[in-house]
Parts: sequence; structure tokens; C-alpha cells
Amino acid sequence: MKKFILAVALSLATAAFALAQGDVAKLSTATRLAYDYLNQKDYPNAIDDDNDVQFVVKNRGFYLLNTPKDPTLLRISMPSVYNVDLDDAAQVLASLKATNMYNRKMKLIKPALSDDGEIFFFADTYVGTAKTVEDVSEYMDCVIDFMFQAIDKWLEYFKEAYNN
Amino acid sequence: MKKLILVVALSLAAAVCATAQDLSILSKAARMAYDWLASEGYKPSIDEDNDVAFKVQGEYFYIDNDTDDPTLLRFLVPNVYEVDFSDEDQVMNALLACNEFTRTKKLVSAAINRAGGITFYASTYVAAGNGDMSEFMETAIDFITRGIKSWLELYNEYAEDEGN
Repeated sequence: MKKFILAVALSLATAAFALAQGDVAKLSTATRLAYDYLNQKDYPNAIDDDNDVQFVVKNRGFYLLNTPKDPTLLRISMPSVYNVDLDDAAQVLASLKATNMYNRKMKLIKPALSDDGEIFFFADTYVGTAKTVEDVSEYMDCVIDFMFQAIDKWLEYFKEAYNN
Repeated sequence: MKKLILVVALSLAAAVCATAQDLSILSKAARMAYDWLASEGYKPSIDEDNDVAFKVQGEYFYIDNDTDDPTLLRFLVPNVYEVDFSDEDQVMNALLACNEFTRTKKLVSAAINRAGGITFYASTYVAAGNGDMSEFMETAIDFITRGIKSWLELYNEYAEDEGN
């Protein structure tokens, strides 16, 4: 029985590894560096069907958007920050005002309202000639930290706009 | 004659010292950007708010000199367009255009400022030891310059939709 469990576990691990290897090869330069950073930090992650990297920090889901056509673009995204009821005009206006306020006052993180009412955050940069994980790790640390701060800030702006 | 040469030399030295003092007030990120701009022939200067200023295709670009966040680098191109706050439709269309712009463009964002001016932004984090900022600087300048035109197109689309 133990041998059987071990065999199954090894098969699964091998399959997962093979899948990851295949997908890893499709990551852009910037995404690959960030992907290596995630593994170095032990942040749980997986490469999805679109070859984007999903990862989790403090129970929050993030994405690394993989853009092979723009290989040095590093985009980190935090989806589903808030769901706006698009039938509620006051909520839509407040969310646009909060997003505007955030983009005006704060740096690095860009919040935006999607067509289906989702507020999501993202941050873009170009990694230039970066070649090692160390070249991107400070940036990654900073963006992830700012994303968490941005949630509270955006909600504060949203409530302020909604109540006025 | 010797006196005249001495006076001129002292004046020049004083001017050089003054410039050096100005540069010393810049944050790490602003200083790196200033040096890059100077090396690329953009002729940057330091304005009355101690921000770095330079001109591209008729628009004044600024780089925040934020000494509280010395490694955060932010471009601003303020007041490119004006919104009349007394016209609710105009404000709504501008908010929608800013959101759409920020959501769909890489690196850059747009927002209405307190005075009703449309301002364009791009920001990144300058990591320690990361001396290569060429790609970010070139791309940010290029994307903002092109973005200024596309923001107006977005705004006009929203205004036309509203008219229909």
C-alpha cells in the first residue's frame, strides 16, 4: 500500500513538474524573473492555461501577466478588490472618483474599474537589463506591500466619494 | 584685468556651486532621472517646487522630488486638458476616459486633478543598485506622449456615446 501511494505521489509530482517546466519555458523574461522570485520567497504559485502566473500572499490572490510580445514588461495584478454594482449609478460614480483620486495621489499601483464592475489593481514596470532575481526582488517586495496598503486607501476614497 | 577675470571666475564658481546645491536636494530616484535626462539631451532643470522639469514635444514633464519616498520615481504631465467641474456630463466622461486609459494602457495612468486639469502619470520603484533605468524612462516618455492623444480620443468617444 505504501509503495502504491509513493508511486502515485511520484507520478503526480512528475506530471506537475513536467507541466510546470513546459509552461515556464513560455514565460517572458520579466515574468520568469518574478516567477523565480515567488519560488525563492515560497509564495504558492501556479502557471495557468494562459501562461500567466497566479500566486498567493497572505491569502490574497495575485497575477503576473505574461506578455511574451513585450518581454521586459513586468505586470503584477491584484484582481477582485471590490465588486461595484453597475446598476447603482452612485456606486459607479464613487468608484470612478475613488480610482481617480488614487491615481492622482498615490504612486506605483494603478486601480481601475473593469467592464463587469470589478475593481482591480495593477503595477507595471520595465525590467530593462535585469538578469537575476535580485534585480527584481526589491521591486516585487515593494509592489506587493503597496498593493495591500492600496486596498484600504482605495476603500477609504470610495466611502468618502459615496457618502458625499 | 586680473580683477575682472577673478570676479568672472568667482561668479562662475558660485553659479556651479548653486547648481550643485540644487541637485543635492533631489531624492535618489529624482537624481537618477535627472542624470539620465541630462545624458540623453533633455536639458532638465529644477523648478520652484524642487521637482525636475523638462520639455517633450511642447509638453512640460515633471519628475516628483519626493524625499519621503526617495526610491519612488513618478512622472507627471499636468493640465494637458481642462474639465469644467460645473458640467456634470463633462466630468463623468473625463472620469470614464481616465479609467479606460489607465486600465488599457501599459505603465501610464491619467486622472483629473483638483483644478480640473487632466494629468498623466507613470511611476516605478528604483531599486538599490539598479542603475539601468533607460528602458523605463524611454518607455514612460514615449507612452505618455502618445497617451495624451489617445486620452482625447477616448474622451470624445464617451462624449459622442452620450450624445447618441
